Amino acid sequence: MSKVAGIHNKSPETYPQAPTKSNVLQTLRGVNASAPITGSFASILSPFISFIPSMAGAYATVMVSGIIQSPSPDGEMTLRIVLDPSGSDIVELTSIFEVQAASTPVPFSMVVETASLGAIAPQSIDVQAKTTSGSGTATAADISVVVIVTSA
Amino acid sequence: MKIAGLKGRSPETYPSHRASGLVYTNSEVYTDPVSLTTTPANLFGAGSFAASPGDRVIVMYSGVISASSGSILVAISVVLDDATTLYTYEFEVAASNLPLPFSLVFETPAALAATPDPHAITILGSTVSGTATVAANGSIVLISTPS
Repeated sequence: MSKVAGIHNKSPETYPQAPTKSNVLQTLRGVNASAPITGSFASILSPFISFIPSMAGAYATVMVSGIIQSPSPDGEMTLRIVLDPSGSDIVELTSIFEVQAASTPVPFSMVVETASLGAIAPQSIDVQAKTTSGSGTATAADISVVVIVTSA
Repeated sequence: MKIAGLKGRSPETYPSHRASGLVYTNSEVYTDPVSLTTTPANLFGAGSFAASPGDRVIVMYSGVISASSGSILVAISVVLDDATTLYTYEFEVAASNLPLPFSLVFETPAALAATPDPHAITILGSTVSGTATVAANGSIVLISTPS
């Protein structure tokens, strides 16, 4: 069959559409065996996730899981996912988990998608924790984080 | 017997990828309870999940564990090719606080090696000490990104 001008990609029978292009720009990961939790927010990653999106207007889906254990005293722990922790410090999500020494370690997980990351520029994502009361200590462990960067 | 088009795949144990652009997803729900002991048990019966050489794989799993009596420490692991434990996390299941929902997310640390083809990813659960527990309603989603 001869080709017909002007119908490129327009006739599904004779000109199948081009394969769908993935909008996943990149994936990033991090793991950390253990991190202390105190009365002030501090990173439980080491190091935090850094990347430069390959196009403007990208989004980042952040997923983190792990456990919290050994509270002293028992109490609530506050975890948060932070965009640009060394700069504008945008808190994307905050969650509170109760941890009791009598029933630890406690699993936790969080997932959030950022708003558009804007222009092409270095980005960083951190997961931070503190004791909600602002005193005492605990330990986060077996922390795993995955970030999926997608275009709009 | 060889079947054309099934190279490297066993449909019974390796569910097929579902293509989505350059990303492949694979998923399964396993509702049957799985008894956990100190010997690691597959949380999806006998099933594993296929991944191709060169891929990086994001594993997302959610499930529920309950303890029959007393508090017990359980370990959940992501295992590659029935040989390499990529990730393990341990948490406590309290009989007074059951059933306990849990989830994990993990990405393989590097592109998967050239062999075997395909690779097999398995989720295992075990108890750190004696008493059996039960895991149920497991759900897994894998996202494979070719390098």
